[in-house]
Amino acid sequence: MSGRIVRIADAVAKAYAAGAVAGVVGLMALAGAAWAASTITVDQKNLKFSVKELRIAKGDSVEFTNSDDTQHNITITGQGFTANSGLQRPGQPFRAPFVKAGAYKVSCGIHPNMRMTVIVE
Amino acid sequence: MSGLGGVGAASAVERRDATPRFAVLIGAILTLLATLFWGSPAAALPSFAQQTGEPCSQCHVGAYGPQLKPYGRDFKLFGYVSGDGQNTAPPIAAIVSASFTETQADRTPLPHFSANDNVAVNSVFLAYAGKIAGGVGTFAEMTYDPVREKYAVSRIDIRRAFTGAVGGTDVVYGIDVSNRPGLQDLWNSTPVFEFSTFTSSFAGSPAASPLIDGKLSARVAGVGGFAMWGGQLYTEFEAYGQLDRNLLNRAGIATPANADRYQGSIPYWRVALQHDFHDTHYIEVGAYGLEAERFPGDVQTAGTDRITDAGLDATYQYTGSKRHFLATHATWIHEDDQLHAASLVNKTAPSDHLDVFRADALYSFDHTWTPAVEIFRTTGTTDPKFFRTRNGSPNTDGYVLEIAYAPWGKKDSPAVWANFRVNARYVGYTRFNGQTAGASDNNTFLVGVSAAFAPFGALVKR
Repeated sequence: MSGRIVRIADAVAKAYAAGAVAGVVGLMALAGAAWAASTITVDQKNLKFSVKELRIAKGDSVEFTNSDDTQHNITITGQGFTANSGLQRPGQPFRAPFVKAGAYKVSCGIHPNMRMTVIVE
Repeated sequence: MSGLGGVGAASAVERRDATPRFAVLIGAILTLLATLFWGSPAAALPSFAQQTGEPCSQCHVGAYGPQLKPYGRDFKLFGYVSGDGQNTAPPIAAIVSASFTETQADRTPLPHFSANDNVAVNSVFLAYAGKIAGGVGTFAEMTYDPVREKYAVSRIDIRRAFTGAVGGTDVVYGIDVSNRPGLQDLWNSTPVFEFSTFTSSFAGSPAASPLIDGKLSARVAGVGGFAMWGGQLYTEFEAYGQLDRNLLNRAGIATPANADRYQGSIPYWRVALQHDFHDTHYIEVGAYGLEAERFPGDVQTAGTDRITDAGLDATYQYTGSKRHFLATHATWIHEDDQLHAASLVNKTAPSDHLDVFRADALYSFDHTWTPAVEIFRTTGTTDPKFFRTRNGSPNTDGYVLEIAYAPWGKKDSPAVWANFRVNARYVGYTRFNGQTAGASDNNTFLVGVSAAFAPFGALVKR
């Protein structure tokens, strides 16, 4: 009788352990996914983007900072997607997530020579 | 020398003391200030400021036109359409300029004015300047000359720019329609927007100038294409044709029956190289030119004259400081006149030539105080029937000293759509129309104000 109880308790303990392992693995997977989606910063200074071309992974975000003493107006187009920062004042960041692979053109509506490309892989 | 609108050198009739008439001057300044504050103050073209939300200082040296900074050139290159998307009002601008003018010698007075020391509202500009629709933009201007009581369609430039790439090189390209060769140019080293636009109807101006230096202004219309390759190389070609005489007269451009007529198209070309060194030093070097076949006096039975203009130009700007800005420009224009027709019709020499050199420098402090200097020299062959000076020589030498004060047009100014500027300018001649004796009679002192505003600017909420 007691041996049977021990086996049942052992089975329950193994099930809990397996569940715990599965839970930890799941949590790690979720956390890993969250860690993988990173944010890359692109600065606007002297009426230029800090990079001409940026390659990022699907799900990443780009934060456009404004280190100029003038306002900007970020416009992003590509893959059927359009985003506009509105008036972006000095020091004010604008963050855009990129969830679909492909090439996106980024420009400033006020300063037409400010152009760059974001490639989502 | 740029743009002293004039009544002709020969009208200098009396040499007089150069000492300013201070009472008149003070009265003039008070009158001008009263004119300024009675009217609404304004910018280079405040409708552009209305559209972009940017103050005049973002585009212009000294927070007032016409000298362009890098962003101003970009704004023009991309077709006057850039903006923050907030503008909901039509891009209309008005500029009113008034001045006191003293010349060293009295001049033949214009109707209703004196032989010297005149105070007048010189010009009123009304412009549609900015986005028309889609990617098409314009700078189109009408002028009223209160001194001569005349209206005229003065400058029109309509552009559409596109972006693309050729072999991995970014290209900004487009089409342009304008009514003066060079009006569409991005640099202030070529004639149209060179140096200061602060002028007076009461000052004299040299008789001789190349065709490309304003003689075709508003008399022609042209269409062509431009391209900026990799942000470094600019190329442009445009073909102009003379507008109908009746149309010109209706548009306020006086064109008598015996005015010169240009046959066929007038090709205009432009090439320029630019480079920005670490956002601190900017350099441009370029060349430009045109060729025209002309019937002198519209006489079409003696063939045509062939006029070929070729120019070199250069720009340097120090852009490395927020408070200090230096801009220098230089140009040299050579004109070759093959006077096959004029030699028969007007008894000119069979050929002539003209060379013009100008160089200027402006230093702007805090976008507010802008002293400037220019030197200019015109030389050429001697031909009384062609250049129409007393001794037939077109030679003129001189200099300009100027200071401008533009307290607005900055981020902390009361409104981006309004600006004003106060100027003082002295033009000195060491030789005028081939003569050194009496050249200084044409020396001119000007002090004036220019106020610019966008009437609908206050309607735009940001």
